Amino acid sequence: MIVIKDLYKIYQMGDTEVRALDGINLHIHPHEFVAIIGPSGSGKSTLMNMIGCLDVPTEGEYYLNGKNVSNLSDDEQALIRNRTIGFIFQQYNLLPKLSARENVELPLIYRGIKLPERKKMAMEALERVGMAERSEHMPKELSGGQQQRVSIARALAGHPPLILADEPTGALDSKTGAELMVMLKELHSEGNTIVLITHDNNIARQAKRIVRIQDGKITRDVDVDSEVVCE
Amino acid sequence: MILLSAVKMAWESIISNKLRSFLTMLGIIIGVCAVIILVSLVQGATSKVTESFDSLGTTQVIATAKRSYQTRTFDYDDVEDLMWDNCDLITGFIPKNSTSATLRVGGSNGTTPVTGTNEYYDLSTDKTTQLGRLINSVDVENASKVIVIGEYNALTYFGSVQASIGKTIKVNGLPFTVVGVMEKQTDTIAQYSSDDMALVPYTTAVNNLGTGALTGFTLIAKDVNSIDSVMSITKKFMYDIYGDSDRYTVVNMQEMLDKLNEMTTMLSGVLAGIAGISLLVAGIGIMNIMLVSVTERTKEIGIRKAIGAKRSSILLQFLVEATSVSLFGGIMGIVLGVIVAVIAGKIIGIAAKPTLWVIVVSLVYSMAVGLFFGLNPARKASKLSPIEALRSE
Repeated sequence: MIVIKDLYKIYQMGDTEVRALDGINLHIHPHEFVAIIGPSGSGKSTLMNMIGCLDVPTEGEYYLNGKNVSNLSDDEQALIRNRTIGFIFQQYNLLPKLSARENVELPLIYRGIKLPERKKMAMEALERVGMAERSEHMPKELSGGQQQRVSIARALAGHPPLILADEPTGALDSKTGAELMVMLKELHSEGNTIVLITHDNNIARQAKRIVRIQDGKITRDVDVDSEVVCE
Repeated sequence: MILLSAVKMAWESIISNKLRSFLTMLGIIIGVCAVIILVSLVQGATSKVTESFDSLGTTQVIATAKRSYQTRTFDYDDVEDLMWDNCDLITGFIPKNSTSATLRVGGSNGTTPVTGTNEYYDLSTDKTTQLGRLINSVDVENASKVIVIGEYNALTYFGSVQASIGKTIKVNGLPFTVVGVMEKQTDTIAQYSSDDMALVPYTTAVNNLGTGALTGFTLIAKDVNSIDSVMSITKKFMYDIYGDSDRYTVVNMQEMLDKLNEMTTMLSGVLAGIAGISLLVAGIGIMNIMLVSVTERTKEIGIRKAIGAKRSSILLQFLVEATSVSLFGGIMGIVLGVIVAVIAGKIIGIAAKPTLWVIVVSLVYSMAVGLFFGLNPARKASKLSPIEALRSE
C-alpha cells in the first residue's frame, strides 16, 4: 500500500537547515491499522502531509498503491488525493455553508460523479456512520462528534483504499473520542487501510501497529499485539 | 458538471452575503444603466433628426455662397438654364431667398420670415397647402403680389384657415393676396414656430421686399443615382462664378445625413465610453471584494483542495462567482436602464431606442469585466497550497 524509501524533507530557515523528515523508511500493507505517534515538532505532521500527497519530499521516494507519487504536480496530487485517500481532520473541516450530505458529496463532485449516483453514494456513507437522518443538517446544527462522523462519511464516500486520520479525536471529549475509535476499528475490520496520526499513546494503542517518530526519524515500529508498549 | 456545481456554489456565496454582493453589483448596475440610457436616447434623437432630414428629401443638392462672398451673386435665369440644360438629371430648382417682413391686417401685425420661391417649392418638402395653392410659374413670371401663409398667420390675422383665402394682407406695407395656407407643421402652433411663415414668388421678393439677388439655390436631382452628376454640374457652375472652391459650398442631403450619422455614432461612442469607465471602476470593485473573499475563504479552499479539487476547479469556482456578480448586475442594469431611458425619453420627447445591439454589448461587456477582474483573485485562490490553507483559521 505505502512504501516510503529514504524520505527527506528539509526546510531552509535562514542559515539553518531544518530536517523535518530525516531518512524515513516505512512500509504499510493493505488492511493495516497504523498509528503514527510523536510529540509536536517531531515531524509527524510533515510525514502525514507526505503520506496524504499534500506535499512533495526534498529527496526520497514514495510509492502509493505501487505508483511513484514523490514528484507529482499540484493537479496530479489532487487527483491522487481524490481517488486514493480519505481525509479525516482534527477540526472536522466541514464546509459550513453546505449540508452534511453536500459535504459528503464534495469529493465525489471533484471526481466527476453525476448527481443521482453521487447522492446515493453520499447517503450510503452517512448511513455507515449513523448520520443518515441528519443528512440535510448544516454543520453548525451538529455536535462535534456528529460533525466528525460526517467528516468520516466524507472520507468513506468514494471508497478510497487509504483512510488518513489526523488527530481525529483531538477536538472531542473522551467519551465521543472513544466512540470514534470504535468506529475506526470497525472500518478497519471491514478491510479499510487506516493511518492514524496522534500524539496520544492511549489512542495509538488501539491501532494494530505503532510507528513512533522523533526528530524526523522513526525510532520505533512495533505491532501492538506482539509487544506491550510501555512509555 | 463541475461548472454546474460551481454555479450553485457561486449562487450560495452571493446570497449568503447579500449586502456585500449588492454593493459590489451596484457599480455594474449603474454603469450598464448609464450606457443603456445614454445610447438609447442618442439613438432616439438621431432617428428623429434622420427622419426629419429624410422628409426634406435626399435628392436635394444645395449650393450656397459663403457669407463673405455673398456680394457676388448669380442670375436666376442662369440657374434655370442650368436646370433645362440637364433636364435628364434635374427636375427642379428652388432659389434661396429669405427675409423677414412685417405682416399687417387691420390693426394687428407681426414679423414673419418670408421666403421667395418658385413653382418647384413642393419638391423640397413633403409639406403642401391645406387650402388654396402654392406659388406657381405664372406668379413668378409676373412677379404677382400673392402670398402663401402658415396656419399660425391665418389664425392670427383672419381667425380661421377658410377665412384667409383671397383676403389681402400687407407685407411691408404692400398689399398681397392670400392664395394658400400651408398645412400644419408642428403640434403647438405659435409665433416663431414653423407655422409662422410665408411664401411669395421669388421675383416679387426681389422686386418688392428687397431680398437682393440670389446667394444660393437648391437643385432637385431626378433620383438618388443622378446625385453625383448633379453635384459635379453644380460645382462647375459655382466655380465658374466664384473662381475658387473655397468661396461656396455644394452639399447634398444624403451627404449631410451621412455626416450627421457619423457624428451621432461618434457621440454615442464617446458617451458609452464614459459610461464604460464606470464599468471599469465597478470591475475593480469586484476584484477587490473577490480578493477579500479569497482571503476569508482560505480554509475552505484548503479543504476543497485536500479532498481533491484541482487548480482548475478552484479557478472555475471563483471565476464563476465573479462573473455571476457582474452578469447579474448587468441584467439588473439593463432592465433599469431600459425603463429609465423610456421614461426619460417620454419626458424630453424622444422615442428612446434601446436596441438589441446595445443590450447585447453591455451584457457581454459586464460579463467580460467580471471575468477579467475575477481572474487575478481566482488564480490566487487556485494557487494556494492546501497545507497552508488548511492551517489557516
